[in-house]
Amino acid sequence: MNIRVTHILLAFGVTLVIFGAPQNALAEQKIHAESTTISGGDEDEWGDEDWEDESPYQWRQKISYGYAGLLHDEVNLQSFVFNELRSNSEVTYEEDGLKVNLELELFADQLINETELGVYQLNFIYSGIKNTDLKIGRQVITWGTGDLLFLNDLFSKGWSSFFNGRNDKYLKPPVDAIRLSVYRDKFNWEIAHLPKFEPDQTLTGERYSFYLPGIGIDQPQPPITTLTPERPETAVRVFGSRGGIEWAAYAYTGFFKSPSKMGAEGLTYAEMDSIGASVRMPAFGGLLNLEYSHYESNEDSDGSDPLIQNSQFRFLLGFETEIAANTSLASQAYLEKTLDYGALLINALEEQVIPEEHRTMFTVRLTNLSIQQKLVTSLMLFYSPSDEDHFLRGSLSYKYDDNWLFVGGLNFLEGKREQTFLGQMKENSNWYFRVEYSF
Amino acid sequence: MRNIKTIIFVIAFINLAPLQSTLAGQTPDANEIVNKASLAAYYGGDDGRTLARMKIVDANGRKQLRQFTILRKDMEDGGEQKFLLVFSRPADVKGTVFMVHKKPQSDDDRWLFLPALDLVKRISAGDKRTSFVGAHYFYEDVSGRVPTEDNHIFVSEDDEFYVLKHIPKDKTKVEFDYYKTWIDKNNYLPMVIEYYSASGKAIRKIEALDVSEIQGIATVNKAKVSNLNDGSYTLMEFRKMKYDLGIPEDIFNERSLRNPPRIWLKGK
Repeated sequence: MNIRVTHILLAFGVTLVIFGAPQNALAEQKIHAESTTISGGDEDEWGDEDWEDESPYQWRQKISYGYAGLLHDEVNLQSFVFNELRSNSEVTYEEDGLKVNLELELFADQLINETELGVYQLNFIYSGIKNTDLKIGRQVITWGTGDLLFLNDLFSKGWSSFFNGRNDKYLKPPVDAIRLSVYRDKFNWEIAHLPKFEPDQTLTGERYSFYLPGIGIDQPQPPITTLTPERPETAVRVFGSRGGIEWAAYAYTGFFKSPSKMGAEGLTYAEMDSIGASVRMPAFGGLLNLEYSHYESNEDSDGSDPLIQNSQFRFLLGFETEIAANTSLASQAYLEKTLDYGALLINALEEQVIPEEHRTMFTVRLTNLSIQQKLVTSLMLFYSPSDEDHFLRGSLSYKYDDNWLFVGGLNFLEGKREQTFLGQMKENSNWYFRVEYSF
Repeated sequence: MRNIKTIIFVIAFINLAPLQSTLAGQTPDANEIVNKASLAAYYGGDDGRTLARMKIVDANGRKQLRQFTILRKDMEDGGEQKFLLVFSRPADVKGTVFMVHKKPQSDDDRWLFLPALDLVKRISAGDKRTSFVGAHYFYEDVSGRVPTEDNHIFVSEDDEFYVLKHIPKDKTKVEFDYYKTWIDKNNYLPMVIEYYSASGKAIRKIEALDVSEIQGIATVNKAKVSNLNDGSYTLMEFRKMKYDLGIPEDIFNERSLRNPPRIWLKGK
């Protein structure tokens, strides 16, 4: 227990030192100095009394710093897209049938010059009813079979964290939700109700440059704001598994997750319902997954309104296999078909960016584990033949010991045209590093 | 003539008798020992729970630690099994859950739950002889190598141990040429397993360092896996083992990945 208390005190001490320091470089040195004291102590090996912690409270802490510098410095307002220090404190309380998770996050973001302390997650899980979990509060929800491609997972994505080397967890920000999961013999089902619609964290101009109709690639100032409907969204999943084959069916009612409607008062989100299905199973010595979804644009069901996104059909085929010891290869083929395309073309406005009718995307991810799995090398390529753009996401992640993690990587974006999804991001190509200390 | 025939028959019988006794009595059946050893090492009770921790020490003496709780349920002795591993340390893997549906006749189904992303990731079957969470233990050491993967040869025995040699049927799937086991005659637990290269050099060793009886079942409390080439090793310890808790089969599902069943991890 004493070690824990010392850790808490040190964590707050470190946090104070860091946030009081004028420069991040100085802060880094301080973290290092403090941590030497921590890991040099009794924690080298767990004592016998640590076998089973009888306390219902568990605590952990992570402090991280990351920086991403631009590879070319022509359009963006700053020369970096990531420069921040984060401190996450997580406390869980658990007894039979009840679990409470609280995660506080303190961050100092040099890019937007903001320091903030907030509740990242706070949720309660009640499991007192047989085969049923009720989870209420701010929580992360993920389902579906895609690898960084999303069809039926219509919970908020942190796209602003997709391109700059932040920890992957920020790709799935928590949302305020009531989630009820019921597990049965033949099939299970769950429903997630969000009292207030939570859109994706899309590009605003705060951090990245991108394509602006009529202007070209630029970093808009002030950043673009959107109107978020003060209305609920609900997602349902029915799922099961038989003989190693996992299946699921999905339904959703809410809104497109990205700005998809130009209303009288500005950019906002169009109403959308969706249905979909997925299968995941072992095949050909690896894992095969298939997923499809149909997005119905409720406010523009015939596709004739150019100011509202059309309905869509999405299809995904994925395969992952181990190609050598400790090396896996995962590939995906993805199709996004815009429906009522003729109506969209006829009614399109001047300067309007029209997506390809069939947007295609291939991804290949190569992952290698080495040095007792302490070094993880990951290389993922997104390539779109229809948009003629690509995104190379490479990283080397080294776990020095049970506390320290060092990550370095590259986000390289390129495209033939300025207005495509990845091509518009090309001025944001960057290299990055991240250091995390957890205890 | 009749006498000669009788004499030949008698001589033949006399001559064969010692040979028969060697085959039947003195040379035990290697396959039978291996099957018994597999049951003793991996199928104790109908189900079980244990706390486990590993100290992983690399060739430079640098240490990593892992702590987790294992729940196991046997569908049938020597057959299908289901495992749930819930990590509690170190801090950055706390809450990570690993689930295996072991199927001796085909590839195992494996899943990993990553709490920060709320992600249930299915892991492709892959190479069973790769490291389990960075330790010197392989996936196959954790859930058990299927006896039919090897040809088993009886080598010798003394008062304490049967010594067997095992030659893999498919050498392309493994990193060794053959291995030998020293199996305790009393409880059939493999006390030492040594892996050899094609040149006959010992390259890897698994030892049971401490065994005690729990609920009448001989149970390993402490084991060590060593890489004999570079001196690195993993020390594994087990505590609070309990058998026959009555763990139901249906807890080895997605629910337990996302919300591990505290009642079976801590209670009863």
